[in-house]
Amino acid sequence: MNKDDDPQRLLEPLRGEPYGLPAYDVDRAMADGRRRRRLRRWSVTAAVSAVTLVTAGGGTAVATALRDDDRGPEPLPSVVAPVPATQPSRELSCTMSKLPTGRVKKALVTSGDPTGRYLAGRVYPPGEEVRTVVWRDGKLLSTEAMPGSDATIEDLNTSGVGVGTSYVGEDRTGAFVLRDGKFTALDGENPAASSINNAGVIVGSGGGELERYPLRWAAPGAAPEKLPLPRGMTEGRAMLVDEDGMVVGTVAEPSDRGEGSGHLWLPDGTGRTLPLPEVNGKKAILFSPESIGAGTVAGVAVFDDGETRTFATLTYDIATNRYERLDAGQGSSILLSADGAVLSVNGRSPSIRSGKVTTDLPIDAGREYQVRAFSRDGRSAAGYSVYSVANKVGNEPVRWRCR
Amino acid sequence: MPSGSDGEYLAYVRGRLPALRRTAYLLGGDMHQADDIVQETLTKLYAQWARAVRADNLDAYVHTILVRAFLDDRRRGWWKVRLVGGPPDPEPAAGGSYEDRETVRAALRRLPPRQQAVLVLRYLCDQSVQDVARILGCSAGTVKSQTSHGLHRLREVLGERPGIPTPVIARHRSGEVTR
Repeated sequence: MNKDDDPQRLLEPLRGEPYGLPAYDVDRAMADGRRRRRLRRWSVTAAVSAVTLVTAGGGTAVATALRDDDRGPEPLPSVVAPVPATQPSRELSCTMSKLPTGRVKKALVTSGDPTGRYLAGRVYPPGEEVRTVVWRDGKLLSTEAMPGSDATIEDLNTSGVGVGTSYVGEDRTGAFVLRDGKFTALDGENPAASSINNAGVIVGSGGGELERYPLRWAAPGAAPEKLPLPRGMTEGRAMLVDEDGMVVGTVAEPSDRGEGSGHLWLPDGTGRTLPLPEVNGKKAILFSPESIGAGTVAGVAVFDDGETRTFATLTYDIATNRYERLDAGQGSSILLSADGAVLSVNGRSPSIRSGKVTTDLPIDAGREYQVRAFSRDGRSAAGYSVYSVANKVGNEPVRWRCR
Repeated sequence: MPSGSDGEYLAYVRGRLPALRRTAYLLGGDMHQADDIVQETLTKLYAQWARAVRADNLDAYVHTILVRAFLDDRRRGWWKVRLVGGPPDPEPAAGGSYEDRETVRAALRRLPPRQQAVLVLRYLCDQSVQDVARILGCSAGTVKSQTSHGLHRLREVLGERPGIPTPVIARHRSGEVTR
Protein backbone atom coordinates (compact mmCIF):
# COMPACT_ATOMS: atom_id res chain seq x y z
CA MET A 1 0.00 0.00 0.00
CA ASN A 2 1.20 3.46 -0.81
CA LYS A 3 2.12 5.33 2.37
CA ASP A 4 -0.20 8.15 1.43
CA ASP A 5 -3.27 5.97 0.88
CA ASP A 6 -4.16 5.92 4.54
CA PRO A 7 -4.36 9.67 5.21
CA GLN A 8 -6.07 10.21 1.86
CA ARG A 9 -8.79 7.77 2.84
CA LEU A 10 -9.11 9.34 6.26
CA LEU A 11 -9.79 12.72 4.66
CA GLU A 12 -11.79 11.30 1.75
CA PRO A 13 -15.20 12.38 3.16
CA LEU A 14 -14.07 15.99 2.74
CA ARG A 15 -13.29 15.62 -0.93
CA GLY A 16 -15.86 17.53 -2.93
CA GLU A 17 -16.44 20.22 -5.46
CA PRO A 18 -17.64 23.78 -4.84
CA TYR A 19 -21.35 24.27 -5.41
CA GLY A 20 -23.78 27.13 -5.91
CA LEU A 21 -23.18 30.33 -7.83
CA PRO A 22 -19.84 31.99 -7.08
CA ALA A 23 -20.19 34.99 -4.79
CA TYR A 24 -16.86 36.60 -5.62
CA ASP A 25 -16.66 39.56 -7.95
CA VAL A 26 -13.54 40.23 -10.01
CA ASP A 27 -14.52 43.84 -10.77
CA ARG A 28 -14.95 44.54 -7.06
CA ALA A 29 -11.58 42.87 -6.36
CA MET A 30 -9.92 45.20 -8.88
CA ALA A 31 -11.62 48.27 -7.43
CA ASP A 32 -10.66 47.31 -3.86
CA GLY A 33 -7.17 46.32 -4.98
CA ARG A 34 -6.73 49.69 -6.69
CA ARG A 35 -7.71 51.41 -3.43
CA ARG A 36 -5.15 49.34 -1.52
CA ARG A 37 -2.46 50.30 -4.04
CA ARG A 38 -3.18 53.96 -3.39
CA LEU A 39 -3.18 53.47 0.35
CA ARG A 40 0.14 51.68 0.18
CA ARG A 41 1.71 54.45 -1.82
CA TRP A 42 0.73 56.83 0.93
CA SER A 43 1.95 54.65 3.73
CA VAL A 44 5.70 54.17 3.97
CA THR A 45 5.28 51.41 6.54
CA ALA A 46 2.92 49.42 4.37
CA ALA A 47 5.14 49.80 1.32
CA VAL A 48 8.21 48.53 3.15
CA SER A 49 6.44 45.49 4.50
CA ALA A 50 4.88 44.65 1.15
CA VAL A 51 8.23 44.56 -0.64
CA THR A 52 9.29 41.65 1.53
CA LEU A 53 6.51 39.50 0.06
CA VAL A 54 8.69 38.48 -2.86
CA THR A 55 12.08 37.06 -2.05
CA ALA A 56 15.18 37.77 -4.07
CA GLY A 57 14.82 34.48 -5.89
CA GLY A 58 11.33 35.34 -6.99
CA GLY A 59 9.78 32.77 -4.70
CA THR A 60 7.18 33.57 -2.15
CA ALA A 61 7.40 34.25 1.54
CA VAL A 62 4.60 34.06 4.06
CA ALA A 63 4.51 36.22 7.15
CA THR A 64 3.84 33.44 9.55
CA ALA A 65 5.81 30.25 9.37
CA LEU A 66 4.34 27.12 10.86
CA ARG A 67 4.67 28.03 14.47
CA ASP A 68 1.92 26.08 16.16
CA ASP A 69 3.08 24.50 19.33
CA ASP A 70 0.27 21.98 19.67
CA ARG A 71 1.76 18.58 19.25
CA GLY A 72 0.06 15.34 18.40
CA PRO A 73 2.91 13.16 17.33
CA GLU A 74 3.10 9.42 17.10
CA PRO A 75 4.79 7.75 20.03
CA LEU A 76 8.16 6.16 19.55
CA PRO A 77 8.31 3.29 22.02
CA SER A 78 12.07 3.08 22.23
CA VAL A 79 14.34 4.42 24.90
CA VAL A 80 17.76 5.88 25.41
CA ALA A 81 17.84 5.00 29.08
CA PRO A 82 15.17 4.17 31.64
CA VAL A 83 13.50 6.95 33.56
CA PRO A 84 15.27 7.37 36.85
CA ALA A 85 13.07 7.45 39.94
CA THR A 86 14.84 10.40 41.48
CA GLN A 87 12.63 11.72 44.19
CA PRO A 88 10.34 10.04 46.68
CA SER A 89 6.85 10.76 45.46
CA ARG A 90 3.24 10.46 46.36
CA GLU A 91 0.16 11.17 44.36
CA LEU A 92 -0.88 14.80 44.54
CA SER A 93 -4.31 16.08 45.44
CA CYS A 94 -5.27 18.65 42.81
CA THR A 95 -8.21 20.94 42.11
CA MET A 96 -9.11 22.77 38.91
CA SER A 97 -10.61 26.25 38.75
CA LYS A 98 -11.67 28.32 35.77
CA LEU A 99 -9.95 31.67 35.34
CA PRO A 100 -12.17 34.74 35.02
CA THR A 101 -12.44 36.21 31.53
CA GLY A 102 -14.63 39.29 31.97
CA ARG A 103 -17.54 37.29 30.56
CA VAL A 104 -15.72 36.61 27.31
CA LYS A 105 -16.48 33.01 26.40
CA LYS A 106 -13.34 32.13 24.48
CA ALA A 107 -10.02 32.64 26.24
CA LEU A 108 -6.82 30.74 26.90
CA VAL A 109 -3.58 30.70 28.90
CA THR A 110 -0.26 31.13 27.08
CA SER A 111 2.29 31.25 29.94
CA GLY A 112 2.91 31.66 33.65
CA ASP A 113 5.55 32.81 36.12
CA PRO A 114 7.74 30.43 38.16
CA THR A 115 5.55 30.75 41.29
CA GLY A 116 2.20 30.15 39.59
CA ARG A 117 0.85 33.49 40.89
CA TYR A 118 0.93 35.24 37.53
CA LEU A 119 -0.61 33.80 34.38
CA ALA A 120 -0.94 35.35 30.94
CA GLY A 121 -3.27 34.60 28.08
CA ARG A 122 -5.63 35.91 25.44
CA VAL A 123 -9.35 36.65 25.34
CA TYR A 124 -11.48 36.68 22.18
CA PRO A 125 -14.30 39.20 22.69
CA PRO A 126 -17.00 38.74 20.03
CA GLY A 127 -16.71 41.37 17.34
CA GLU A 128 -13.60 42.92 18.87
CA GLU A 129 -9.88 42.39 18.50
CA VAL A 130 -8.31 39.49 20.34
CA ARG A 131 -6.30 40.87 23.25
CA THR A 132 -3.74 39.76 25.80
CA VAL A 133 -4.63 39.48 29.50
CA VAL A 134 -2.83 38.76 32.78
CA TRP A 135 -4.14 37.08 35.92
CA ARG A 136 -2.65 37.42 39.41
CA ASP A 137 -3.74 34.96 42.07
CA GLY A 138 -6.59 33.91 39.81
CA LYS A 139 -7.93 37.44 39.28
CA LEU A 140 -7.92 39.36 36.02
CA LEU A 141 -5.60 42.39 36.15
CA SER A 142 -6.13 45.66 34.40
CA THR A 143 -3.44 45.73 31.72
CA GLU A 144 -3.00 47.19 28.28
CA ALA A 145 -3.42 44.89 25.31
CA MET A 146 -0.16 44.05 23.56
CA PRO A 147 0.07 45.97 20.26
CA GLY A 148 -0.14 44.01 17.02
CA SER A 149 -2.00 40.92 15.89
CA ASP A 150 -1.52 37.33 17.07
CA ALA A 151 -0.10 38.80 20.27
CA THR A 152 1.21 36.25 22.76
CA ILE A 153 2.73 36.79 26.19
CA GLU A 154 5.34 34.04 26.12
CA ASP A 155 6.72 34.23 29.66
CA LEU A 156 6.46 36.07 32.99
CA ASN A 157 8.89 36.41 35.88
CA THR A 158 8.01 36.33 39.58
CA SER A 159 7.49 40.12 39.61
CA GLY A 160 4.83 39.77 36.94
CA VAL A 161 7.01 41.31 34.23
CA GLY A 162 6.08 39.63 30.96
CA VAL A 163 7.56 39.34 27.49
CA GLY A 164 5.93 38.43 24.22
CA THR A 165 5.67 38.83 20.50
CA SER A 166 3.11 39.94 17.96
CA TYR A 167 2.87 40.78 14.27
CA VAL A 168 3.07 44.54 13.83
CA GLY A 169 3.04 44.57 10.04
CA GLU A 170 2.38 42.24 7.17
CA ASP A 171 5.67 40.45 7.65
CA ARG A 172 7.17 42.07 10.72
CA THR A 173 7.20 40.97 14.33
CA GLY A 174 7.49 43.15 17.40
CA ALA A 175 8.72 42.09 20.84
CA PHE A 176 7.29 43.71 23.95
CA VAL A 177 7.82 43.90 27.69
CA LEU A 178 4.82 44.17 30.01
CA ARG A 179 5.53 46.00 33.25
CA ASP A 180 3.05 47.66 35.58
CA GLY A 181 0.26 46.99 33.12
CA LYS A 182 1.95 48.73 30.18
CA PHE A 183 3.76 47.40 27.13
CA THR A 184 7.00 48.82 25.79
CA ALA A 185 8.70 47.64 22.60
CA LEU A 186 12.07 45.91 22.68
CA ASP A 187 14.79 47.04 20.29
CA GLY A 188 15.80 44.81 17.42
CA GLU A 189 15.16 43.87 13.81
CA ASN A 190 11.96 41.81 13.61
CA PRO A 191 12.44 40.89 17.27
CA ALA A 192 10.68 38.05 19.08
CA ALA A 193 10.91 37.66 22.86
CA SER A 194 10.33 34.26 24.38
CA SER A 195 11.60 34.18 27.97
CA ILE A 196 12.51 36.43 30.92
CA ASN A 197 14.13 35.54 34.24
CA ASN A 198 13.85 37.24 37.63
CA ALA A 199 16.94 39.35 36.96
CA GLY A 200 15.13 40.84 33.96
CA VAL A 201 17.28 39.13 31.34
CA ILE A 202 15.23 38.51 28.19
CA VAL A 203 16.01 36.15 25.34
CA GLY A 204 14.52 35.65 21.90
CA SER A 205 15.50 36.13 18.30
CA GLY A 206 15.62 38.61 15.46
CA GLY A 207 16.02 38.75 11.68
CA GLY A 208 14.04 37.23 8.80
CA GLU A 209 11.64 34.33 9.23
CA LEU A 210 14.11 31.75 7.95
CA GLU A 211 17.27 33.63 8.96
CA ARG A 212 16.76 34.10 12.67
CA TYR A 213 19.61 34.87 15.02
CA PRO A 214 19.49 34.41 18.81
CA LEU A 215 19.20 37.56 20.90
CA ARG A 216 19.66 38.47 24.54
CA TRP A 217 18.54 41.70 26.16
CA ALA A 218 20.38 42.31 29.48
CA ALA A 219 17.38 44.28 30.75
CA PRO A 220 14.03 45.44 29.33
CA GLY A 221 15.43 48.77 28.08
CA ALA A 222 18.77 47.40 26.88
CA ALA A 223 19.93 47.02 23.30
CA PRO A 224 19.86 43.42 22.06
CA GLU A 225 23.10 41.48 21.77
CA LYS A 226 23.49 38.60 19.35
CA LEU A 227 24.39 35.33 21.01
CA PRO A 228 27.25 33.55 19.24
CA LEU A 229 26.45 30.76 16.80
CA PRO A 230 28.71 27.71 16.60
CA ARG A 231 30.89 27.32 13.51
CA GLY A 232 28.89 26.30 10.45
CA MET A 233 25.57 27.36 11.91
CA THR A 234 23.90 30.37 10.37
CA GLU A 235 20.61 30.51 12.20
CA GLY A 236 19.45 30.29 15.80
CA ARG A 237 16.79 31.17 18.33
CA ALA A 238 17.10 31.62 22.08
CA MET A 239 14.01 30.14 23.70
CA LEU A 240 14.46 29.92 27.48
CA VAL A 241 16.60 31.66 30.09
CA ASP A 242 16.91 30.22 33.59
CA GLU A 243 17.69 32.00 36.85
CA ASP A 244 21.43 31.37 36.46
CA GLY A 245 21.44 33.04 33.05
CA MET A 246 21.74 29.79 31.11
CA VAL A 247 20.03 30.13 27.74
CA VAL A 248 18.47 27.25 25.84
CA GLY A 249 17.55 27.48 22.19
CA THR A 250 18.22 26.04 18.78
CA VAL A 251 20.82 26.49 16.06
CA ALA A 252 20.58 25.47 12.41
CA GLU A 253 22.68 25.13 9.28
CA PRO A 254 21.56 26.88 6.10
CA SER A 255 20.21 23.61 4.70
CA ASP A 256 17.91 23.17 7.70
CA ARG A 257 15.74 26.10 6.54
CA GLY A 258 14.94 27.24 10.04
CA GLU A 259 14.63 23.84 11.69
CA GLY A 260 17.15 24.06 14.48
CA SER A 261 18.36 21.60 17.09
CA GLY A 262 19.10 22.18 20.77
CA HIS A 263 21.93 24.46 21.87
CA LEU A 264 23.01 25.86 25.24
CA TRP A 265 24.55 29.25 25.86
CA LEU A 266 26.16 28.77 29.27
CA PRO A 267 26.53 31.58 31.84
CA ASP A 268 30.35 31.46 31.47
CA GLY A 269 30.03 32.59 27.86
CA THR A 270 30.70 29.22 26.27
CA GLY A 271 28.23 27.32 24.16
CA ARG A 272 27.36 23.70 23.62
CA THR A 273 25.28 22.17 20.86
CA LEU A 274 23.38 19.22 22.27
CA PRO A 275 24.34 15.90 20.67
CA LEU A 276 21.64 14.28 18.55
CA PRO A 277 20.05 11.46 20.55
CA GLU A 278 20.03 7.92 19.23
CA VAL A 279 17.11 5.69 20.05
CA ASN A 280 17.13 1.98 19.19
CA GLY A 281 19.97 2.55 16.77
CA LYS A 282 18.12 5.34 14.99
CA LYS A 283 19.61 8.79 15.15
CA ALA A 284 17.36 11.78 15.56
CA ILE A 285 17.64 14.56 12.99
CA LEU A 286 17.07 17.17 15.69
CA PHE A 287 16.20 17.68 19.33
CA SER A 288 13.80 20.50 20.03
CA PRO A 289 13.97 21.90 23.59
CA GLU A 290 10.70 22.69 25.34
CA SER A 291 11.47 23.32 28.99
CA ILE A 292 14.34 23.60 31.45
CA GLY A 293 14.44 22.24 34.99
CA ALA A 294 17.29 21.94 37.45
CA GLY A 295 20.19 20.99 35.19
CA THR A 296 17.86 19.27 32.74
CA VAL A 297 16.36 20.17 29.39
CA ALA A 298 13.16 18.42 28.29
CA GLY A 299 12.29 18.25 24.63
CA VAL A 300 11.24 16.29 21.62
CA ALA A 301 13.58 14.22 19.45
CA VAL A 302 12.52 14.10 15.80
CA PHE A 303 13.17 11.11 13.54
CA ASP A 304 12.69 11.39 9.79
CA ASP A 305 12.44 8.43 7.42
CA GLY A 306 11.88 10.48 4.29
CA GLU A 307 8.10 10.76 4.00
CA THR A 308 7.06 10.66 7.66
CA ARG A 309 8.37 11.65 11.03
CA THR A 310 8.21 10.09 14.49
CA PHE A 311 8.94 11.66 17.83
CA ALA A 312 10.17 10.81 21.30
CA THR A 313 10.21 12.88 24.48
CA LEU A 314 13.57 12.93 26.21
CA THR A 315 15.44 14.83 28.87
CA TYR A 316 19.01 15.97 28.42
CA ASP A 317 21.18 16.10 31.53
CA ILE A 318 23.51 19.09 31.19
CA ALA A 319 26.11 17.77 33.66
CA THR A 320 26.44 14.27 32.20
CA ASN A 321 25.73 15.16 28.54
CA ARG A 322 23.31 12.24 28.36
CA TYR A 323 19.72 11.76 27.28
CA GLU A 324 17.09 9.84 29.17
CA ARG A 325 13.67 8.73 28.17
CA LEU A 326 10.96 11.00 29.52
CA ASP A 327 7.91 9.03 28.49
CA ALA A 328 5.74 12.13 28.71
CA GLY A 329 2.51 12.64 26.86
CA GLN A 330 3.08 14.52 23.63
CA GLY A 331 -0.34 16.11 23.28
CA SER A 332 0.81 19.53 24.48
CA SER A 333 3.81 21.34 25.90
CA ILE A 334 6.19 19.37 28.11
CA LEU A 335 6.97 21.42 31.20
CA LEU A 336 9.42 20.73 34.03
CA SER A 337 9.34 21.86 37.65
CA ALA A 338 12.56 22.63 39.53
CA ASP A 339 12.71 19.13 40.99
CA GLY A 340 12.12 17.36 37.70
CA ALA A 341 8.36 16.74 37.89
CA VAL A 342 6.82 16.75 34.41
CA LEU A 343 3.56 18.34 33.32
CA SER A 344 2.28 17.02 29.98
CA VAL A 345 -0.84 15.84 28.20
CA ASN A 346 -1.37 12.25 27.23
CA GLY A 347 -4.32 11.91 24.89
CA ARG A 348 -6.81 14.28 26.44
CA SER A 349 -5.61 14.03 30.06
CA PRO A 350 -3.14 16.47 31.60
CA SER A 351 -0.99 14.89 34.27
CA ILE A 352 1.95 15.57 36.55
CA ARG A 353 4.54 12.85 36.80
CA SER A 354 6.97 12.93 39.67
CA GLY A 355 9.36 10.01 39.84
CA LYS A 356 7.23 6.93 39.27
CA VAL A 357 4.00 8.52 40.46
CA THR A 358 1.58 10.09 38.00
CA THR A 359 -1.25 12.36 39.12
CA ASP A 360 -4.03 12.91 36.60
CA LEU A 361 -5.28 16.47 36.87
CA PRO A 362 -9.05 16.96 37.23
CA ILE A 363 -10.82 17.97 34.01
CA ASP A 364 -14.31 18.53 32.67
CA ALA A 365 -15.50 15.38 30.94
CA GLY A 366 -15.60 15.54 27.16
CA ARG A 367 -13.02 18.29 26.83
CA GLU A 368 -9.41 18.17 25.81
CA TYR A 369 -6.66 20.21 27.44
CA GLN A 370 -3.48 22.06 26.63
CA VAL A 371 -0.96 22.93 29.36
CA ARG A 372 1.07 26.13 29.21
CA ALA A 373 2.41 26.88 32.71
CA PHE A 374 3.98 24.87 35.53
CA SER A 375 5.35 26.42 38.71
CA ARG A 376 8.88 25.68 39.89
CA ASP A 377 7.53 23.89 42.98
CA GLY A 378 5.39 21.63 40.80
CA ARG A 379 2.23 22.53 42.68
CA SER A 380 0.57 24.95 40.30
CA ALA A 381 -0.27 24.43 36.63
CA ALA A 382 -2.36 26.23 34.05
CA GLY A 383 -3.67 25.77 30.54
CA TYR A 384 -6.95 25.69 28.71
CA SER A 385 -9.68 23.35 27.59
CA VAL A 386 -10.62 22.71 23.98
CA TYR A 387 -14.19 21.84 23.08
CA SER A 388 -16.73 22.14 20.30
CA VAL A 389 -19.39 24.81 20.40
CA ALA A 390 -21.71 25.45 17.48
CA ASN A 391 -19.27 23.73 15.14
CA LYS A 392 -16.47 26.03 16.27
CA VAL A 393 -13.64 25.47 18.70
CA GLY A 394 -14.12 26.91 22.16
CA ASN A 395 -11.39 27.46 24.77
CA GLU A 396 -11.62 28.07 28.50
CA PRO A 397 -8.62 29.03 30.65
CA VAL A 398 -8.05 26.99 33.79
CA ARG A 399 -5.52 26.52 36.54
CA TRP A 400 -4.80 23.55 38.74
CA ARG A 401 -3.47 23.72 42.28
CA CYS A 402 -2.04 20.69 44.02
CA ARG A 403 -1.06 19.72 47.53
CA MET B 1 8.07 40.23 -20.32
CA PRO B 2 4.76 40.71 -18.50
CA SER B 3 3.80 44.32 -17.90
CA GLY B 4 1.42 43.83 -14.99
CA SER B 5 -1.53 45.24 -16.92
CA ASP B 6 -5.21 44.82 -16.07
CA GLY B 7 -5.64 42.68 -19.17
CA GLU B 8 -2.97 40.23 -18.01
CA TYR B 9 -4.55 40.13 -14.55
CA LEU B 10 -7.99 39.34 -16.00
CA ALA B 11 -6.62 36.70 -18.34
CA TYR B 12 -4.76 35.07 -15.48
CA VAL B 13 -7.52 34.99 -12.86
CA ARG B 14 -10.25 33.85 -15.28
CA GLY B 15 -8.27 30.74 -15.97
CA ARG B 16 -7.59 30.04 -12.29
CA LEU B 17 -10.87 30.87 -10.57
CA PRO B 18 -12.32 27.33 -10.50
CA ALA B 19 -9.11 25.92 -8.99
CA LEU B 20 -8.83 28.72 -6.44
CA ARG B 21 -12.47 28.28 -5.41
CA ARG B 22 -11.99 24.54 -5.07
CA THR B 23 -8.89 24.92 -2.87
CA ALA B 24 -10.65 27.51 -0.72
CA TYR B 25 -13.66 25.20 -0.34
CA LEU B 26 -11.52 22.20 0.61
CA LEU B 27 -9.58 24.25 3.16
CA GLY B 28 -12.60 25.41 5.14
CA GLY B 29 -15.50 23.24 4.00
CA ASP B 30 -17.78 26.28 3.86
CA MET B 31 -18.86 27.67 0.51
CA HIS B 32 -19.53 31.18 1.80
CA GLN B 33 -16.17 31.34 3.52
CA ALA B 34 -14.54 29.94 0.38
CA ASP B 35 -15.96 32.75 -1.76
CA ASP B 36 -14.85 35.33 0.83
CA ILE B 37 -11.34 33.88 0.72
CA VAL B 38 -11.26 33.91 -3.08
CA GLN B 39 -12.49 37.52 -3.06
CA GLU B 40 -9.72 38.53 -0.64
CA THR B 41 -7.16 36.63 -2.73
CA LEU B 42 -8.26 38.38 -5.94
CA THR B 43 -8.10 41.76 -4.21
CA LYS B 44 -4.64 41.20 -2.74
CA LEU B 45 -3.37 39.79 -6.01
CA TYR B 46 -4.60 42.82 -7.93
CA ALA B 47 -3.08 45.19 -5.37
CA GLN B 48 0.27 43.42 -5.81
CA TRP B 49 -0.11 42.48 -9.47
CA ALA B 50 2.86 44.44 -10.83
CA ARG B 51 5.17 42.53 -8.48
CA ALA B 52 3.29 39.24 -8.60
CA VAL B 53 3.78 38.76 -12.36
CA ARG B 54 7.53 38.75 -11.77
CA ALA B 55 7.34 35.74 -9.45
CA ASP B 56 9.00 32.58 -10.78
CA ASN B 57 5.93 30.55 -9.92
CA LEU B 58 2.86 32.74 -10.06
CA ASP B 59 0.44 29.91 -9.24
CA ALA B 60 2.34 29.13 -6.03
CA TYR B 61 2.40 32.84 -5.20
CA VAL B 62 -1.39 33.07 -5.58
CA HIS B 63 -1.94 29.92 -3.53
CA THR B 64 0.21 31.45 -0.81
CA ILE B 65 -2.08 34.48 -0.73
CA LEU B 66 -5.13 32.23 -0.64
CA VAL B 67 -3.88 30.00 2.18
CA ARG B 68 -2.78 33.07 4.12
CA ALA B 69 -6.32 34.47 3.76
CA PHE B 70 -7.69 31.18 5.08
CA LEU B 71 -5.32 31.22 8.08
CA ASP B 72 -6.17 34.85 8.85
CA ASP B 73 -9.85 34.01 8.70
CA ARG B 74 -9.39 31.04 11.02
CA ARG B 75 -7.37 33.08 13.51
CA ARG B 76 -9.80 35.89 13.99
CA GLY B 77 -13.13 34.53 12.89
CA TRP B 78 -14.29 31.80 15.19
CA TRP B 79 -17.15 33.92 16.51
CA LYS B 80 -18.08 35.27 13.10
CA VAL B 81 -21.74 34.72 12.33
CA ARG B 82 -22.73 34.69 8.72
CA LEU B 83 -26.15 36.11 7.99
CA VAL B 84 -27.07 34.54 4.72
CA GLY B 85 -30.36 35.31 3.01
CA GLY B 86 -32.10 33.50 0.19
CA PRO B 87 -32.80 29.84 -0.39
CA PRO B 88 -30.44 27.20 0.99
CA ASP B 89 -27.63 26.04 -1.22
CA PRO B 90 -27.90 22.70 -2.95
CA GLU B 91 -26.11 19.78 -1.35
CA PRO B 92 -22.47 19.58 -2.38
CA ALA B 93 -21.24 16.61 -4.30
CA ALA B 94 -18.77 15.22 -1.79
CA GLY B 95 -16.74 12.09 -1.36
CA GLY B 96 -18.61 10.72 1.66
CA SER B 97 -21.95 10.78 3.40
CA TYR B 98 -23.14 13.93 5.14
CA GLU B 99 -22.44 12.40 8.57
CA ASP B 100 -18.92 11.34 7.64
CA ARG B 101 -18.17 14.70 6.11
CA GLU B 102 -19.40 16.64 9.13
CA THR B 103 -17.58 14.34 11.55
CA VAL B 104 -14.24 14.58 9.77
CA ARG B 105 -14.63 18.34 9.21
CA ALA B 106 -15.42 18.89 12.91
CA ALA B 107 -12.35 16.85 13.84
CA LEU B 108 -10.17 18.75 11.39
CA ARG B 109 -11.30 22.07 12.88
CA ARG B 110 -9.90 20.94 16.21
CA LEU B 111 -6.41 21.08 14.73
CA PRO B 112 -4.32 24.26 14.63
CA PRO B 113 -5.09 26.13 11.40
CA ARG B 114 -1.72 25.47 9.79
CA GLN B 115 -2.01 21.73 10.41
CA GLN B 116 -5.45 21.88 8.79
CA ALA B 117 -3.94 23.64 5.78
CA VAL B 118 -1.08 21.13 5.48
CA LEU B 119 -3.40 18.11 5.55
CA VAL B 120 -5.87 19.58 3.07
CA LEU B 121 -3.16 20.74 0.67
CA ARG B 122 -1.32 17.42 0.80
CA TYR B 123 -4.19 14.93 0.80
CA LEU B 124 -7.14 16.70 -0.80
CA CYS B 125 -5.34 19.06 -3.16
CA ASP B 126 -2.65 16.44 -3.86
CA GLN B 127 0.24 18.89 -3.47
CA SER B 128 3.73 17.55 -2.83
CA VAL B 129 5.63 18.20 0.40
CA GLN B 130 7.85 20.66 -1.48
CA ASP B 131 4.88 22.51 -2.98
CA VAL B 132 3.17 22.82 0.39
CA ALA B 133 6.42 24.09 1.90
CA ARG B 134 6.65 26.70 -0.86
CA ILE B 135 3.04 27.79 -0.35
CA LEU B 136 3.41 28.08 3.42
CA GLY B 137 6.89 29.56 3.31
CA CYS B 138 8.47 26.94 5.55
CA SER B 139 10.79 23.96 5.23
CA ALA B 140 9.80 20.59 3.80
CA GLY B 141 10.72 19.12 7.16
CA THR B 142 8.26 21.37 8.92
CA VAL B 143 5.53 20.27 6.52
CA LYS B 144 6.35 16.63 7.29
CA SER B 145 6.26 17.31 11.03
CA GLN B 146 2.96 19.14 10.76
CA THR B 147 1.58 16.28 8.69
CA SER B 148 2.54 13.74 11.33
CA HIS B 149 1.19 15.87 14.18
CA GLY B 150 -2.01 16.63 12.30
CA LEU B 151 -2.76 13.05 11.24
CA HIS B 152 -2.05 11.72 14.70
CA ARG B 153 -4.28 14.32 16.27
CA LEU B 154 -7.02 13.78 13.70
CA ARG B 155 -7.06 10.04 14.35
CA GLU B 156 -7.05 10.71 18.07
CA VAL B 157 -10.04 13.04 17.84
CA LEU B 158 -11.96 10.75 15.49
CA GLY B 159 -11.25 7.71 17.59
CA GLU B 160 -11.78 9.09 21.07
CA ARG B 161 -14.57 11.60 21.00
CA PRO B 162 -17.57 10.14 22.78
CA GLY B 163 -20.95 10.76 21.19
CA ILE B 164 -19.50 11.39 17.76
CA PRO B 165 -19.66 8.43 15.42
CA THR B 166 -16.43 7.21 13.92
CA PRO B 167 -16.70 7.88 10.21
CA VAL B 168 -17.24 4.87 8.02
CA ILE B 169 -14.10 5.60 6.12
CA ALA B 170 -12.03 5.61 9.31
CA ARG B 171 -13.48 2.27 10.37
CA HIS B 172 -12.57 0.81 7.00
CA ARG B 173 -9.08 2.11 7.43
CA SER B 174 -8.10 -0.11 10.29
CA GLY B 175 -10.73 -2.79 10.04
CA GLU B 176 -11.87 -2.20 13.58
CA VAL B 177 -13.75 0.36 15.57
CA THR B 178 -11.58 1.84 18.28
CA ARG B 179 -14.56 2.91 20.35
